[in-house]
Amino acid sequence: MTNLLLHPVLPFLLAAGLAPVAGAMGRRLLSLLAPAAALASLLSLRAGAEMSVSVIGHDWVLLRVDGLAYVFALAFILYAFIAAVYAWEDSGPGPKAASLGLCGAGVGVVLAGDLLSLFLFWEWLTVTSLFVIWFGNTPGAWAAGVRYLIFHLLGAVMLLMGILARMADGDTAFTAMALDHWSSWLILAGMMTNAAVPPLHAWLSDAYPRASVFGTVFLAAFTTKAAVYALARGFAGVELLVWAGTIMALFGVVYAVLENDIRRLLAYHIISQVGYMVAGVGLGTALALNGTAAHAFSHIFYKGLLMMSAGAVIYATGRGKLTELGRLAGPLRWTLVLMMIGAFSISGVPLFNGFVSKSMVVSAAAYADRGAVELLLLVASMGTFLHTGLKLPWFTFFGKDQGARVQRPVPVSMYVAMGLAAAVCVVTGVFPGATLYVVLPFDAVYEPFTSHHFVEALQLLTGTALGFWLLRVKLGGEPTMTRDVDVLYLGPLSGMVNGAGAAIEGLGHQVGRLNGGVVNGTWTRLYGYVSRVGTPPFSVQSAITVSAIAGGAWFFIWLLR
Amino acid sequence: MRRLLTDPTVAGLAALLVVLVVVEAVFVPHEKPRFPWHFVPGYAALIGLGACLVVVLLSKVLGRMVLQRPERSDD
Repeated sequence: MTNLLLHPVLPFLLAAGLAPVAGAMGRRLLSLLAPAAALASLLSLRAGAEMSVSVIGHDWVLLRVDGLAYVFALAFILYAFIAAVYAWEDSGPGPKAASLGLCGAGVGVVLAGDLLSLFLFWEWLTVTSLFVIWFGNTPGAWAAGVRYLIFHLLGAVMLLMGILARMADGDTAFTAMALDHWSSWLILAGMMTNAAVPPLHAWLSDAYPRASVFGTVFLAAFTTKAAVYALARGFAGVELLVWAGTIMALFGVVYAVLENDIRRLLAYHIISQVGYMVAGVGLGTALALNGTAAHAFSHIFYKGLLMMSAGAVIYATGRGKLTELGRLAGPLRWTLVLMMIGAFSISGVPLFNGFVSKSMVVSAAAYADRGAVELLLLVASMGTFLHTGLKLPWFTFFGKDQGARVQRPVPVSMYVAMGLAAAVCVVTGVFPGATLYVVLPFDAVYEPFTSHHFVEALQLLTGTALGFWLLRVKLGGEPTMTRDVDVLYLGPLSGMVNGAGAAIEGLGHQVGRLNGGVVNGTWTRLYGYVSRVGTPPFSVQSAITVSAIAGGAWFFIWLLR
Repeated sequence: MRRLLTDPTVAGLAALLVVLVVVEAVFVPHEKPRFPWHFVPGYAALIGLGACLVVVLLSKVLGRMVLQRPERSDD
């Protein structure tokens, strides 16, 4: 039994609580001190450490440290420090409290030892993410936050129903779960929602680019990787995840071809990269799971670095679209250098961290005799380099001048943070055996630096570069938005809200007493948030509303039977 | 086509690609070949170039047909 005061989440919780009452400088220091203190307490804990408290008749195992939890917690805490340095200028009480809470919740998820504690931190992560999105104050941030909430509540309901059903059988431990009961399937679906597995992914590419440039840097690291951890803990070796992950890896690539918003392009590549991790979980061998953990670790830092450098471009120029950028290599040369370090890392260029972690998952697929998976993951690697390594920097920093100018200088704090993240990418990429591989949870020997791996990677990258150069005219940004699969559920949802609003308004007129303005105003506002993809015709709305009510009634009757 | 062949970037990348394929074929064959393509020297180069062309053109067609719509003011 370890002292609860040593829990690594506690510093984040305290700092988030103090942030609103501290001054601006106090908040900045708190945001750096919290991860430092959390790191100290994590390092003081030994493998096998557990802490639990008994509240409302349940033993909450708030802390369980083992190899798998350790590597994720370590990455989260180190990254929380770097992101806090990046957000030094963003010193308002709201954003600081929300981002500190977000970091704490992420660490909490990976340290939770029982299913209810997991759910507690899981929901804390949703709420803090929501506030980080809302504090973005960008046009569309509020509505995107509402859509984010609707989506994560759906995931949460599935997760909670599954957990409660398991608890009814007296089973609360958060360990590997067999898919022999519907409760496990619900838990799996809830976790896949947070891992952004298509078609449950649209919240990510919708909301992340609408946060502030600082907020996005926090959002990009935690939610999906915490979900990858949960999948690795609960559902290693599930065949469905091999294919879900492979499809994810390719899915992001197709969307990134069409994307014009630089942060949304990077958001689609989060889905693609998390695909490798999910596929690794599905393969379930020791090497594959090590690959998942290693790639999550690498990803947190290189994707953070990419989001930070994209944020620096937006901060400096006030623009974030490929069709409005270009020719910034002179005034923003250091941002370009740092972005390229992130881009080389995500693309798996030898001697950067993506190379030593991604290749582990790809090799694990080959060793498990999964030829198609290996091949498709290689195709996805091509796509990663094409967009993040070539298209994004080319049309941001080179290409043609589209009027973007540096309006204000990038603060030193942002450069320091990008430098720290870049250092992690390079050091773990050059010396994986002395750094990253030491903290991997499972027993599997892997040598990334073989001459064949080098040649294979260089061929893939050079071939992609040639393809990019031949097609670069076609690859420029276009001033369009891309329809995502959220059209499939937001369409019906907006129809339902609109239909219900019309029904209530009609009822109000009939009764003559209800204040139509207030009631209908609420519905109109909600409709505005979910109508991102347009509204179906009235007949479809009515049909959807009627079937939703009938379906809900059927579900209640089924529950009460 | 003529312009393509005299573009120094295309020439440079293509030359590098040829060198890499030759290096693979002569010095570093696949350590543990398991699948048919592992026996083809330069399979990674083919995936890089070939998949790049296919993915870009396919995505563009998909984009034109269903996925793309005009930007809205809130973005």
